[in-house]
Amino acid sequence: MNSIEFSHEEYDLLTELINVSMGKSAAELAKLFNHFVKLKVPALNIESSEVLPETIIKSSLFGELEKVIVIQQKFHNDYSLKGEGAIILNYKTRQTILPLLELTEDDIGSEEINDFLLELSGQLISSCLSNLLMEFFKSPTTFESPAITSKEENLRQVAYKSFEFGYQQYGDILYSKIDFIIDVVNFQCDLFFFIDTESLSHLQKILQKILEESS
Amino acid sequence: MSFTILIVDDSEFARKVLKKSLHSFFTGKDYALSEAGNGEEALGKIKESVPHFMFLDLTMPVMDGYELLEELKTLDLNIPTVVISADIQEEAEKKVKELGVLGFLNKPLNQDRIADLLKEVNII
Repeated sequence: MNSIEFSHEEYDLLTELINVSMGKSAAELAKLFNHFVKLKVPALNIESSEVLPETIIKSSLFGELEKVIVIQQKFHNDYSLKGEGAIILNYKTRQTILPLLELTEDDIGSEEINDFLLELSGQLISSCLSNLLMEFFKSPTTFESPAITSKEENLRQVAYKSFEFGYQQYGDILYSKIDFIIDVVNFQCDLFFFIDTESLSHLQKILQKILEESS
Repeated sequence: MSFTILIVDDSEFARKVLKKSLHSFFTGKDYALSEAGNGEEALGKIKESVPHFMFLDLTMPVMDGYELLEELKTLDLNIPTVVISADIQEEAEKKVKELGVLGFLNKPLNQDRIADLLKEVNII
């Protein structure tokens, strides 16, 4: 039993708002790669932080033993909302970035790629969340600098190390997962975002207000 | 005979907002609304009774909007359709227009834009 429960209508509304926000992020990604970004329905749930690593493993686009790169970015909005976004991508996807930077396989170790990934992830996380959070809060959301938190481990290791420890303090967490897939260039990434327990009641009140106004 | 409209969207909230708008446009007119939460459910309803008009979301579970449009094309069913989607990529609009849709509206829904588009396609 979670400490806070969202009703079916509240989940439905939040999923729709995330859907609209991810559409805007996908359009930015499409411009960058000059290819169509395939969108799927975002996943959304409130879960105990203890089960979060397994949820990440099950819902990621990547296999649990696949080596992945993780970029994480914290955000807050006037202390009424606090959370974190995370981009997970694999090495195949990392290679798709090379032509964009006019690099070749010989430059695979280049720091330039990491810088680009940080920039790209920061853009995806902040554009998606800024759009979403503008629906809820009048004040702008503050984003900390994104950081590559893992690049040598597989998804299972990452899910337990990078996420479990970071969220032990939170209890229940609202998590959402979005996939961005560009088939033509083999680009795939997961965008997860997590919102802490304390922020959930603020979010719920706003969702209830929107639902009331729409009836 | 009622003018029948099918709304296909996985979001109940989006369907509710759209129904509210349609109700205001069609007040006093003989019309009937039906709903489906994904392409597969919509296909079942269409096979029972082909609607006069359809609002269609693109990103849905089970069967998405593109798949439904492809399936309708295979079945040679030509239902006047307006797509309402959060996908603002130009390619998305191009793809569905190639599949024969009349119009494309971006979410979030706005009553004035729905009205303008319905006038444009001679529905109201």
